[in-house]
Amino acid sequence: MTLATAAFLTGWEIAAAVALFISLLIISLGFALAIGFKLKELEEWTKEEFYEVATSGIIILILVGAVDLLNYISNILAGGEPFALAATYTDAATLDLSLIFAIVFGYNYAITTLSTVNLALFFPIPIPTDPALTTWFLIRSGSFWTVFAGLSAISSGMFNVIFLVATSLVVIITQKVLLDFFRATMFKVFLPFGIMLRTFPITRQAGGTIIALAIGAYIVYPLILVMNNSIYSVYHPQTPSAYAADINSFVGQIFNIFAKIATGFATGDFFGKWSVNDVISILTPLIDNFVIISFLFVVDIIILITFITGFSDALGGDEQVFGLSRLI
Amino acid sequence: MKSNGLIVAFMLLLQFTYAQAPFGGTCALSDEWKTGGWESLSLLAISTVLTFLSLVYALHVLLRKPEWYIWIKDEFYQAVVSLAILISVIGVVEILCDVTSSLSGLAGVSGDPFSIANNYLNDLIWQKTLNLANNIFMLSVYAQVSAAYALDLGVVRWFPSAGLRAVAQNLDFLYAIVIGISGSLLLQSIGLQLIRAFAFRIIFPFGIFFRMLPFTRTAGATFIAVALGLYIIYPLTFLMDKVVMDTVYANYPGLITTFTVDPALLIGSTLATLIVQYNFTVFAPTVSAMGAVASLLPQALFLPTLNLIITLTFIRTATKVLSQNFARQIGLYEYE
Repeated sequence: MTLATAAFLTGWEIAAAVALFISLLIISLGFALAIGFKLKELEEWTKEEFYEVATSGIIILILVGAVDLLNYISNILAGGEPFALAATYTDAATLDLSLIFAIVFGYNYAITTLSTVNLALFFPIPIPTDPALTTWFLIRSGSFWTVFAGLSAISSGMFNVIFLVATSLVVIITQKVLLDFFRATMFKVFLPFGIMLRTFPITRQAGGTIIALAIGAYIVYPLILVMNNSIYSVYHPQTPSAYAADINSFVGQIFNIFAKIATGFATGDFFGKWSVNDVISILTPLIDNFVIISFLFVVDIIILITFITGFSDALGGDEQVFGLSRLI
Repeated sequence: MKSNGLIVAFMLLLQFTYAQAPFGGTCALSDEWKTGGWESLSLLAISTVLTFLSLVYALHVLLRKPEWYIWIKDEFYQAVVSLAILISVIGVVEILCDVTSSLSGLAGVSGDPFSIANNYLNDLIWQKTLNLANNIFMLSVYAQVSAAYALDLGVVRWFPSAGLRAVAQNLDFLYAIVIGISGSLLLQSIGLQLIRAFAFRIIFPFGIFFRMLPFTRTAGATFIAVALGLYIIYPLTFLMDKVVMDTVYANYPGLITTFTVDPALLIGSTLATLIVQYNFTVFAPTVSAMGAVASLLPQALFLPTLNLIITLTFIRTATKVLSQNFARQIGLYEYE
């Protein structure tokens, strides 16, 4: 992983160096005015600004070295660069959640369809239309019986499960999209922009905030997902290959349900042949996976926000960072 | 001696500023800020305060109140600083035109930042978010229509695709997210038009006026900071967003996915359901819709929120800077 050239201002190091040079020029002019007109306070102010510019320069130098060092350490310890390893987690979690969604979708599909089965028993009642009883019309009289209406309670619960799984799927896809978006833009556009803003007093706070955001998004965020990958690969109870067996099991369960219904019709002992546990037991390992993914997402947010707010404060940025949680 | 030197330097700055971009020239961030007579209002406010200070000075000589002299001197320099802020901001806004033109040229766009921001937001709202919302809504309706299809076989009646109601619920949730985002973006677009019309014509002169008075100095600084932040910084953040998204599209074209629904395909699939009875064709588009919503979030949610963070942080910092006593800070005068 190298610091690729930027589409904006052709190379972030050059942009940052230009920004530093402009700031030094302004400070030099101010220092000359202070010496010329013997303004001690202005002279002190220019000295303070010089130290701030020097700090920005040190940040640039540290970042140039730190990213390559981080890449080296990541290759040694984890066997790949952070972004590639982070993408491994998001891809695995996306695949798992997509399969969970497919299974839960199919399961809910079958249960809901079954819960709508309606037996109708009608018999015609002839009604004479004239006293001579020469013409008649028939009306239907009878009853409907929704045999498996009780399954609608399960399907209502499944609605919520599908909703949660779909929300988690959107969340994990968003994490993947953000990973690629941060890789494409944070160091190429936002970091030089933040450094340029940090060199001027009136925009220093905004610049510090953006630098903290850029470093958090480009360096810390992939590392968090690498941590997720390590945890997820060890602790998630359902491996992707097991989903195939689950699907077979799921199809088998559906056939079992229909078989029990047929047996119930044949023997008359209809309601005593099966339990709710038969229906929902297949979902347990799938929901365990979903819970782990959701928990890891919450932990990711907490770590990232904590880092950005703390680092922003250290760089002289906005310690509150209004709207940061919404940003992430 | 120090004061004379600084006054000379300030006059030179004025000459330089207006040599570069004459007042009332054609190059400006937008044309609205030159209309409305706010310059004469600001100058009238400054003149009024200076006249009042002159009267107080005459009174202090007449009534022999030396302590009034300190206050008069402080307020006089504050008035001079306010005038300097006014003229400097006018000069900066004019010079900024050239800078933003250069930045726009580098980014491959033309026009002032307000026009660029407006075009960017219109494209984002109408071409992307509302288009996506429309497609998701169509798919949801299709799912619900399929779910309502009933099959009658003698004594048995059932709904083969009733399970699609859950999918429709998910699609309605995605639709609510996208519509909320598009509403927020529409609000920002309207806000930009209001800022363009009023920020420099109303908020800025009020800020200058309030800064002149000692008991409203901080409020005046806030008004000036708000005007600068909204009129200059906020539209420039959209230029930054345009550059960011152009970088993404150029280097990572697969990052942004779109989602469309072909009505003919939906109708054909619905008719096929009559034969096949079970409709699973909505599953794949649902997952595609989720991916499209997720890929829209960086541009539609992350970047606009970042714009607000940058603008608000700038306003907070500028308020602190503008409410200071510059004259005393740079040693122009001291209390005797």
